[in-house]
Amino acid sequence: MTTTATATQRPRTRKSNRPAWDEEPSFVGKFAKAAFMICYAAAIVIPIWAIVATSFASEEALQRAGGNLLLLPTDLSVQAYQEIFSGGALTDSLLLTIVLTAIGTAISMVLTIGAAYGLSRPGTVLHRPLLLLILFTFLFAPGMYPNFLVVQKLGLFNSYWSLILPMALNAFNLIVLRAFFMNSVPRELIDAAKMDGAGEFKTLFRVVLPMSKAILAVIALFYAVMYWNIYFQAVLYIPSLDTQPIQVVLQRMLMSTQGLPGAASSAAQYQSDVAAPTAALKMAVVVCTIVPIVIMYPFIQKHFTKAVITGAIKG
Amino acid sequence: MAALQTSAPPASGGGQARPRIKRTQTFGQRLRHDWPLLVLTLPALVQLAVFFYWPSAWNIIAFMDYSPYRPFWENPFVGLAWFERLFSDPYFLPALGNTLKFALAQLMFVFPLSIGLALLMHSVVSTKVRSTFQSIVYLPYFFSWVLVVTVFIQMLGSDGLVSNWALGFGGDRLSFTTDGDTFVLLAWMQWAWKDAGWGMIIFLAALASINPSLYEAAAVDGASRWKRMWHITLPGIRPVIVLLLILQLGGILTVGFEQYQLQREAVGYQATEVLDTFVYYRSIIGSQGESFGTAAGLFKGAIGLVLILIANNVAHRLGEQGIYQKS
Amino acid sequence: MATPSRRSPFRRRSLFKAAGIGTAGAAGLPMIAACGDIESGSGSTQVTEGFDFLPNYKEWPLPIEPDLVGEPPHHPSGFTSYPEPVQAVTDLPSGSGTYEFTIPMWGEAPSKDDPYYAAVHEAWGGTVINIRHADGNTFADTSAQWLQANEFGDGIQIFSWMLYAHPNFRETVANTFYDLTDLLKGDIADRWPLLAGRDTAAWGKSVWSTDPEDPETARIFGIPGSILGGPANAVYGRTDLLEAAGLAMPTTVEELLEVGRAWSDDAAGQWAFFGTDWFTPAWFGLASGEGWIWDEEQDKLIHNCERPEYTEWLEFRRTLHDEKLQHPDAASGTLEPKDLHKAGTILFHQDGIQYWSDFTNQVKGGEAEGAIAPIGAIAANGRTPLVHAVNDVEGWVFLSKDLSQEQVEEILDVANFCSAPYGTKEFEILEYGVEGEHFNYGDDGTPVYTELGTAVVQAPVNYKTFSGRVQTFLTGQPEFVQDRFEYNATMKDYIEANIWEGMRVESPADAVAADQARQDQENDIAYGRAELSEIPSMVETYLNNGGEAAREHFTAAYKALHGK
Repeated sequence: MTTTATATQRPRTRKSNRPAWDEEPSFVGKFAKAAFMICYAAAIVIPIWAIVATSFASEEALQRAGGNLLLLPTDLSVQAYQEIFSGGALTDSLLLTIVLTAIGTAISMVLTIGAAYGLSRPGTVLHRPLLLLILFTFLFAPGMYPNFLVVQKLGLFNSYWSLILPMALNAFNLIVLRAFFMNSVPRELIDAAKMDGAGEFKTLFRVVLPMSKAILAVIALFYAVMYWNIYFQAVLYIPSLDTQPIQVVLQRMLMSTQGLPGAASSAAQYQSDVAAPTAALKMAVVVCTIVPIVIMYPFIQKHFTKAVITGAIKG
Repeated sequence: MAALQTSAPPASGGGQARPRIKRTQTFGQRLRHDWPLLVLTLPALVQLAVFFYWPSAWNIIAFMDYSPYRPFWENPFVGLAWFERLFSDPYFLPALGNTLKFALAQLMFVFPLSIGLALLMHSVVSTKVRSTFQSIVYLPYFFSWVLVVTVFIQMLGSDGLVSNWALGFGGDRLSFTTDGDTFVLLAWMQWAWKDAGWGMIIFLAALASINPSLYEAAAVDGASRWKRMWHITLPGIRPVIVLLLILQLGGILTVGFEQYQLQREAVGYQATEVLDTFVYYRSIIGSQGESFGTAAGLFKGAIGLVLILIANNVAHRLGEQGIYQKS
Repeated sequence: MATPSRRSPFRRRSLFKAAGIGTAGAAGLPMIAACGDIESGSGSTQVTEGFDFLPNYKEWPLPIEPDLVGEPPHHPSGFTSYPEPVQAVTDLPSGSGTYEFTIPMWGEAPSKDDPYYAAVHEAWGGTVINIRHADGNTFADTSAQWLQANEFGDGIQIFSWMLYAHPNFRETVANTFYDLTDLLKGDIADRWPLLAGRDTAAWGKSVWSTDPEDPETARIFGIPGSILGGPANAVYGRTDLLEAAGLAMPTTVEELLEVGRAWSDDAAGQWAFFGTDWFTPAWFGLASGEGWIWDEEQDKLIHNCERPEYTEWLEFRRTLHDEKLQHPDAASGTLEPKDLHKAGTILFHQDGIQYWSDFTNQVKGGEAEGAIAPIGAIAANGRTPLVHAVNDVEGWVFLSKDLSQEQVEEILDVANFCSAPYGTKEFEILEYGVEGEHFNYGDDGTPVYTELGTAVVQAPVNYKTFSGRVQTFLTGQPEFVQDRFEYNATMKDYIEANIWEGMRVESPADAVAADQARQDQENDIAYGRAELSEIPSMVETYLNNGGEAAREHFTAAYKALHGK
């Protein structure tokens, strides 16, 4: 195992990071791999590029394009971004979403880790019935109306807690984490910790969690994404609050003109086209919603890497 | 980390060995021994009780002719009448068929694509290439469906980027985004574009926990690249794959809503009607009521349950843990 | 026709997010009537006139007579000049209550700190009404939940077209909202002169029966919004592009097709048409709303789809597709036709009447180029044109039944204030906000919004629509008012007669489902996925799966209404 560690830590002296034991792949294989990756990345980069380019486009350029996305903004303009960050409402919304995501993810992780560990040992008291209670949640979802009633009866209507507590536990994440605790954390280590007189809490914090960093990072990411994308709950549960999560703001912009070509309904007159967001503004908000994610991702990735090294040493 | 490499049966065997010892203890003794585990589980259980079981009790209205303005128990019970109505609707079976079709396509093509991407990533040695690629491909996951469909129309629509290139080279406009017959392919491309990169992440995490010294040992023993993938990599992530597959099966009838509703007019209702849109058009626009939607939800849940049970059983036979064990 | 079209794009593109079927399935819909054991969704009817408990009408004299005198309701009068506003409510009540109202809003919600709100509160006597700006796109669906849980603050605004998400709305109304009858009955002109000046028909349209079987239980439950007749939608052509191509504005459907053929060029990326689904039936003489007409010869109700004009209409739509006269991605649901119209990619665009003034304003402001005009009353095959128009209250404000009588009276004081018409100080502050902040007087004396005014006062639904105006007129930019007035004059003779005047009819659930399926099939034909030859079987399916049941239901309503 020391060899592995040195192999990964010795990249400078070699042409690549390839470990000594790994053979060089064939040229064809390399080429095919590179070609596939480039095509795949291009299929994703081009549209994202178009979104970013459009967000910087001037109004005239958008007009000529008929509201389509642009690949090459001829005359750049940061007007859309100025608009976003001048009013303050959008800045508030971004901040709120970040705070919600942080608090929500923390609460979710506490619930999930506790239950995943608590249920990771078959044969303990009440293990089966409790597990069944959790598995049962896969079977159906309570309807929108019952969910709403519960939120309302608990006094969470028009409270930001209504965006966190009702979805704080995801059975899918719980089961994934539990499976990891059961399959990938060696029993001997837990038993050894117990021998040393460590209680369950100590074992969890000292032995199990440090070994599970990679999966914990992934699950935290799952929760963070869920909170980051909160939309419909906000529309339903917190209509009175001034600051709304970012997805609500975004969807209002993306859908605002779409739902309203007027039709036989009289409502068209309340959607003044004058105030309709331009394509640049919409795309700028899209960019704002993904920038924090782009910033966050390297940290998560670092955990993956660390987990690899930890694995190498422990193994 | 050894437990992951050795295939699962010994691990689950170990799990089964313990209860036998414990069974000899009384409930009180076991409680005294295991209480910390219960305490750890408690917050999650409270959350479930309040936000899942309490509202779920409402599913009883699937058997009632429910109105919110009557005292609850004065709502008349109608037995299975709502289910009868569900099954007798001429559009129900096609919607169910489409749902299964899309779910299968998702399982068979999107899922393996994520694994494939993860393996590909894993085999790339350069950290730079690796992290660049990774930090690009997962981004579309954060786009709402409105935006994803918009992007597809802009790129692949009849007046889209590709069409106009083709036109410039003397070709024809694509009719891909308005063709009901090829909608599965279109939907697949949309999933792949939106979700595959994201799905890759969890497999990468699983791959990250495989001990590299195993590869080294195998390589020293003369195992080729493909052999190593077959004998070390895949078994290493097998528990994760099986687990995710089972869980996907449970939610198989929930294939999404917005994606289909947004493209309903473009490719036609016959290609896009799934259970979720069916219920929407029947119970919200078609005003069949809350009981109707609840009945449809229960039906979906029942199918999901059966699929999970079957899949879990198969997993046990294959020597995997699945989501729960027989004890 | 009283009910708004089922083609409303709000319905098709609702943002209703089904995170699981449970979500999709449970919008919380109460119901009535019969299928086996289920007493649900058999539809309902509600008479809306001939009551003896409505407020006694007492004319409220206008401070200024309109410059352009039309023939209401479908040819409303208009103002091309802005008068010195007068005070309508001279005896200002003083209110001290604070209330919260839920109101739908599209676009970005304005800040609640804006001076507009405080200024309006002060102007109407101190009552504070905080607005809960709920998302308009999801409002129909979400409001159904709020109402059932009695969680909408002290009042809620609901547009009549939103009732599709509230089947058996009658039950909701009777159980949730304040019964205003005792307060509004008889002579109310002393305390609420502006409310007394409102059209009796508007009050009649705000009546629901607490017991569907017993007409004697009818009561007033809502404060009606404005009624403004005349065409609410149009298909707009780019007149500048027509002129450049040497083409004239079409006056028949045949001419329209010729113009489309002459202008469209698929290879160059220009198409005459985009969406043609919800506006075009009128060109073929098809009925609006649920699509029923009374056939005197056969002595029964006939649905659009049973008429030969229906086939003609679908042939027309199919021609646009086959001959590549319409944008190939028109059905995709994510393109913005307004933008394509402004860019000149498409020549004709169906939209609400507001689009006309918006476009004109944008050209003025240098944000768009070109000129547009609505296509007039046109028809196919030499028939007399038919024009769909709305003459109904746009919606209601309902008050919570938990309010006390004094509180409701205070809110009615506010409603009285909000009913003030054009030419009053009340109208000015509600419609334009505070001078210098939200608007400035233009050169011709007409108020012009500032940027803040556009964002806060103009775009969103707010106090302007709290209670309908005593009388409604065409107002705004003088040139636009003039154009629209003249346009209405050319349309008024062709306006469809509303055979349901005096009654609100709710379709049976089966019929709504069958209707949805038929519309899906119409689109299949229009976009080339099915053939015109399939129309007869499609109609048969429709009739067998709910259409005939709907005919029975509507026939009963029709006979009751017309005394047959």
